[in-house]
Amino acid sequence: MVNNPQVPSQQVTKLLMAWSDGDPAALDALAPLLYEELRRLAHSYMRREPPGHTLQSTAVVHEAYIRLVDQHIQWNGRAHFLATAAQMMRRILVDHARSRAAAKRGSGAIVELLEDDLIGSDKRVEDMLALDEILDRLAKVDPQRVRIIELKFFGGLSKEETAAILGISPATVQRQWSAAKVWLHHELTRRGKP
Amino acid sequence: MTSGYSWEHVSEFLDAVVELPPEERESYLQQSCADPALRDHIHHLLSSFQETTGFLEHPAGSHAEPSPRFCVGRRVGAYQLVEEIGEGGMGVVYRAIRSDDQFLRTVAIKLMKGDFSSRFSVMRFRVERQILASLDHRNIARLIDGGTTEEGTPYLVMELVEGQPIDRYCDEHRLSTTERLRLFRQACSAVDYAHQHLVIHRDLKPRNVFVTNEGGVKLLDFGIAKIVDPGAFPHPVEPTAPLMRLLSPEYASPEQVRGDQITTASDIYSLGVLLYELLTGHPPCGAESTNLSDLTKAICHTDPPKPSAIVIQTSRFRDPDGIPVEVAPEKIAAVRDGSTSKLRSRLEGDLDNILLKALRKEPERRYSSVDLFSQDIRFHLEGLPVAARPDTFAYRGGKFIRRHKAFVAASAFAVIALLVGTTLALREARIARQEKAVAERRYNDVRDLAHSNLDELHTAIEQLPGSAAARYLAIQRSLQYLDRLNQESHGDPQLTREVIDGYEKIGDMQGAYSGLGIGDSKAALASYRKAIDLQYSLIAHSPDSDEQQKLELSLYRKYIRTLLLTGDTAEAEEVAKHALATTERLIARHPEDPGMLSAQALAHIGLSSVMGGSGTSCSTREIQQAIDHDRSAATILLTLVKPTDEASRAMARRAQILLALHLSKARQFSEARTVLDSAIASEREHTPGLPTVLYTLLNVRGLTKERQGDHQRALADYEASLPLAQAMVKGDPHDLDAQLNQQIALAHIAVERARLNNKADRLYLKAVEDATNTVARMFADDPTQTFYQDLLAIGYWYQAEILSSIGDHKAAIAKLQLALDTAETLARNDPSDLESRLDIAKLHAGLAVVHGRMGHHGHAQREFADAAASFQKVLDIRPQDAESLYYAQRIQGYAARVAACQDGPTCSAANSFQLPTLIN
Repeated sequence: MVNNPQVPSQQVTKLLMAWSDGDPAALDALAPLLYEELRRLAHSYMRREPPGHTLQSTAVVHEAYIRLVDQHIQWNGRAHFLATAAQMMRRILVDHARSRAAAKRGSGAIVELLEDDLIGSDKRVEDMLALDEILDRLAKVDPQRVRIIELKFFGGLSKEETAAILGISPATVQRQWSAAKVWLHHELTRRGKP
Repeated sequence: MTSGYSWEHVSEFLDAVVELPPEERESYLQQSCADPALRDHIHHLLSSFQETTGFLEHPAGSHAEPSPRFCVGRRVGAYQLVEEIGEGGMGVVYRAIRSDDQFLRTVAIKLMKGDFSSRFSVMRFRVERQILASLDHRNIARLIDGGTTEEGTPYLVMELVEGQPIDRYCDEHRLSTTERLRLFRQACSAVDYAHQHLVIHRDLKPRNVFVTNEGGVKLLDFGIAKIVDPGAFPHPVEPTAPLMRLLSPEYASPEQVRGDQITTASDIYSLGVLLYELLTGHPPCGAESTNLSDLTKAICHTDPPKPSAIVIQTSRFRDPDGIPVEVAPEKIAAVRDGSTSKLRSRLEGDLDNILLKALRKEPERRYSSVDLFSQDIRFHLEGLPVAARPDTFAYRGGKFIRRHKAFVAASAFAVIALLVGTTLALREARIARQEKAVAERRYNDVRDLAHSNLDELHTAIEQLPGSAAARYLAIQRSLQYLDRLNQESHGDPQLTREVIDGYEKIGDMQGAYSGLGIGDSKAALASYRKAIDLQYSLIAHSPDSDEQQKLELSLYRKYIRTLLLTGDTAEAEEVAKHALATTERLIARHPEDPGMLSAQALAHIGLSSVMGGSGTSCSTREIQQAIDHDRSAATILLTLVKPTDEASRAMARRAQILLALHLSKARQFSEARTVLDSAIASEREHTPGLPTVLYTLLNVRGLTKERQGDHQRALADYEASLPLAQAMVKGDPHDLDAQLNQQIALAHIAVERARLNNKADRLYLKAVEDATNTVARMFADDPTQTFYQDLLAIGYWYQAEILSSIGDHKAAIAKLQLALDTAETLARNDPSDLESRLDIAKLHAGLAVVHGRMGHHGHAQREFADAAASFQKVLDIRPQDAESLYYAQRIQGYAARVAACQDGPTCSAANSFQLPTLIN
């Protein structure tokens, strides 16, 4: 049983630098390493959380950064790392929510918790799936907004970092993030109602 | 409320007004949005959002409301708060007094702070209360009472500890290193007690280790402590501790920082950090770190400097408020042992090793319990040898394995397996298969038992991470459970068998099988003994039951092996004899039963292993007995060989190998060769055959000839073994043992060629260096395998030989000295270890020869004298020891020739000396 797959951080740093130097293939190589590390971290966080608690994906993403990146790389690289990690975290959480929801449907009753419960309660599972769906729909009409949401919510990037990645001003990020939250809140809460 | 408005409709307006103050929103919308329904909708969105707080905010980001500060003077329970004295992780601590008719008593009251609407914080506080209530130790702050205030704030009433954090106490009182160590041991006693009660503290640091004005240690603040066994308390609460929120990152263990499972080993690490600072005034890791991420990397990847080395440097760190501090080495030493040089020499050696062992990055390489840590400190203070060793030559006392170095050199893998009776050989034996099936069946039965947690416990234990400490605690629980089950079984055979099985499994875990190390072999013996005694009682009740007697045997084998590891050869011999007698009894009732016959052969092998390597009272007579048993075993197993059953043939070969090795050790070379010749010839008739076995056979025959001095033929055998080794590597490129075997074969070939040519060159050296480096790596990866250490010594010996042949005598001496240092350390630690003394003797002889070649006759004479004295020591205990007799004689001859030599540095006599063979 593999307990701790060691992700070699030099490899990651090299890939990151290659990617920030403009090599898109580096990201392809980086992605699986990163994904696996995030998944592992997320599960290890969840082991320490009490049941019902939501995973703090920001903490996971930041920790992954600290652990994987070997030296102080340029600011650009860090933000891109976090951005990619943020998107992956969304996938991880959604996949997990899906499998939990499926398990529940399958047996028709509340099943024993899967070993690592990333998303706590059933309500949260629904919320996560709903959020994912809403974001998918939103992406068709306003992809930049979805990026802001991913970076801020899943990645915990600051507005300056988000702004730099998307090429807009921090003030714009702030405003658009606030607006998004208002709207999402509405979309999520009204789903429960007939 | 449904609305027909999608995102595209609202986004522009929402973006514009979301950050505006409410008054301005209305006017803006009036001006820019024509649709009144849409305006209403946007208002609705904003207002319903405002009612919710924390939507999509990260829980990590949300900060608790500051709690209402409790006033001094207010009553809490039966007490009155007097003053605030501190703030811990989750609570504020006050001094309080209780004054009523009977008592006037001062206590400490800890009130929960922070957002106590969070159910998790409340539960955590409650758990702390439960933990403290269960602990009763003079070095742990005692819990007196607990409750909830009218507002619903939980509180704890605890023993008031007046004093100082341990680091300040030590500095202010200018305690010497010895005094600091004594104080520290009190802290260890407290932590050990907590561990025994299944509690891990998780936040050990100076602020939590107080020293009272009377000089006693008190452990405080079990605020984020964790209970190991989740079944023991109803609601285990594991606090969130993402990287950013670790309460004391400087004291956190690598696994804490990484977010891995935390065990008692983490407490041991934190204690190590604490002691390191107490003794050196420096933090072990991350002194230079300015931020959390650097600190993290330092903790996980940077090895702390040796304490004796760091005390001469200026200490740079940050105090609890984050302000950088610098302390000169003189000041550090002044509050400790006086001068820097005194402090440094005080710390050198034992204390260096002890501290570094506690601070190992891998939890399983630290002390496996706080008690062992504290004990090592005690040994140091009393001048006894400590268990902690510098990294490369960790001594775990695998005495039994050490005594059979030749086996090791022959085939690192296959022969060890035979000798210690583990796995491979046993699994192939029919009886072992039967046992396994029965054990599995019984294990399934256990689940049906009314009060069985046994299975869960065992599974849980197996799934625990490698940390020995975690396993230790789980084992304690299992033992308690088994003892109880034993009492309640009332002699019921079914139940008794479950209990026997349980004790055996626990013995396995406690002892060498689990890699916990020699420290727990005694415990393993106790468990095996319990199992064996129960077996006896079962058999006494039903003496005709063969099944039970068969099952006994595997238990005996393990028992014997563990006895040998603890050096208890007398009892091991008795038990081995008993096992043999049992098999003979069984055979009397079932003659010709192959299962019984195998068992008998294995029992012979067991007894032979005991006799072929027993320590203090070994004489040639014993090795002859070992040989007799080997012969019996080989004979039986050969008769059991079936043409289609490779396993049976493998077993027979292994017995033949053992026989040959023992014969070789007794210098009965021609007989050894006969056995091997016949085995090899017979083995070659089979295709595809058993490559590992054939490889081992050829290797052992090569060894035999090498020891005889027949180097030409030895070389031939080694060369024949090489393709087999290469095939094994090809078959499984990741198999380290196969690679090692290949390198060993190459090394042997190199050495023989060097000897034959008499003009070796560096190519040969490289082969041996490669092999030695591989072994060193494997040893570093797994220091519990002490036989690697022996391989290393052989590697150095071979290198020395070749180096001396090329004329690089100085380098040769360096290598021999390396090997000698190890042998001497081992001999010092275990006076009954005769094999080390033999090694020492041979190494001195080797040094003598090389010095002789350099023309240093004086040195040579001295080394010869040392060698002779060492051989004599062995002969005093083992008068007939073949090797000592042989080499002692040759040395006499050499020494005489060197003494008589008039030619000085170009003494031709010296150049004709052959180094003795180290392998034996």
